[in-house]
Amino acid sequence: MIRTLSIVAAILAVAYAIQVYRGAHAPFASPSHDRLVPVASTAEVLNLIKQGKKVVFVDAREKQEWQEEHIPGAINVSLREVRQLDQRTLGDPDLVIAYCLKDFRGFEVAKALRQSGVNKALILAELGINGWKRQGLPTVVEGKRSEVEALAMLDECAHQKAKCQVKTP
Amino acid sequence: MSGEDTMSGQISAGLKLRAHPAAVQWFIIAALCLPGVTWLSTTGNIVDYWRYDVPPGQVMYVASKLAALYAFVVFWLQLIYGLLGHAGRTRLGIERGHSFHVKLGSLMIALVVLHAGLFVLGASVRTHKFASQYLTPSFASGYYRMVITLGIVAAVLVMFAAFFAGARRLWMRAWRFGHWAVIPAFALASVHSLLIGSESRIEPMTILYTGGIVIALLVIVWRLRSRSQPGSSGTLQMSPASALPHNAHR
Repeated sequence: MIRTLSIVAAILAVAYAIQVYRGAHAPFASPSHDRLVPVASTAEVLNLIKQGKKVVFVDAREKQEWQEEHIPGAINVSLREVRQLDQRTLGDPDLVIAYCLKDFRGFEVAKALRQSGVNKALILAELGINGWKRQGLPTVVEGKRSEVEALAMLDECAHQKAKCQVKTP
Repeated sequence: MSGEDTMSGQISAGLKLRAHPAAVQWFIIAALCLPGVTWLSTTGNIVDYWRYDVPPGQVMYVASKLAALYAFVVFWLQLIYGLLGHAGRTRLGIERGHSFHVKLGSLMIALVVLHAGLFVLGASVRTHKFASQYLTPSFASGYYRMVITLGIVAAVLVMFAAFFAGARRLWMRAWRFGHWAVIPAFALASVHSLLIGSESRIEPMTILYTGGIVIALLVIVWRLRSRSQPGSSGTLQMSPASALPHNAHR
């Protein structure tokens, strides 16, 4: 028993050392502004949308959760799939916002994206789709609001923030 | 006929269990390493969560995921260990006695409590209010809550099974039927983990989950077949120690 557990502990120690080494030598892993993953407020995101910048929303939840409700235009990429993405496959965006309900998973996906070279991957300061909705911003809701309707509403919010109760930081 | 003789008869009448003890040991080592290695591959250097600013509750969330992955593996080991019985375990070279079964079960319950506790605590810290919704079953509040509910039901069944094992002196043989709750609990825990776990469907973990579930099913079938053989006692014997007088394995 002790021998088995010792072998397990040794293997895990080696795996941890590899992660530390990888983290230290990954070219894009360096966090900025003392944050492991930087944040952007919804107001800042809406300003970028208004300016015509390319903002990609990455929904880090399961596919069924994404189908039930998501931020307009969001693509569904969970933590296990995130390594398939990089700056090029995302279409060279100006900003990538990873999110989930309250950004437990969103944070991990944004961190993984930054480690894959997507330096513009952030999370919402308001934390997740729950924070997004609290700002009065629209979502696509299965059977209630289509992608087209929600995108039109979002565009309207970007141009007239007062319509969506968005708080300016 | 003693409990052990009955069990040996069941095994010889059922499927043959043969494996090299060293192979079993390395299989267990792999099963114990994979969750940690997979978690490290997605979490990276955990020290970064203290070194840099992260959203409140994030450390508890990642720790909760690690507890969940190990809870599943320990649950699986516990299930197999119990179902094999003394003779099956002896043949595989993993017999550690009844007390090991109790210790492994206690560890599994501790991991389940840690997983749920850390997740609820993390969510509460994140949202600045007690996240009681993750402790309340609901099948009608969307996919996420439904899958969490499966986990809650699995945890309740585990507690139920542990209670029956702990109270076996009161109910004598009847406790075994209550202890069978571990099987639906394992099924629900597997579904909960596979449907919502971030790491459970990452490639090496998929192999562990699939292999673990298939092995569990085979051992359950073997156990049920053994019970139906002529000459079997017709009752579930989770361990020969439980068939002995209660003070015999003290």
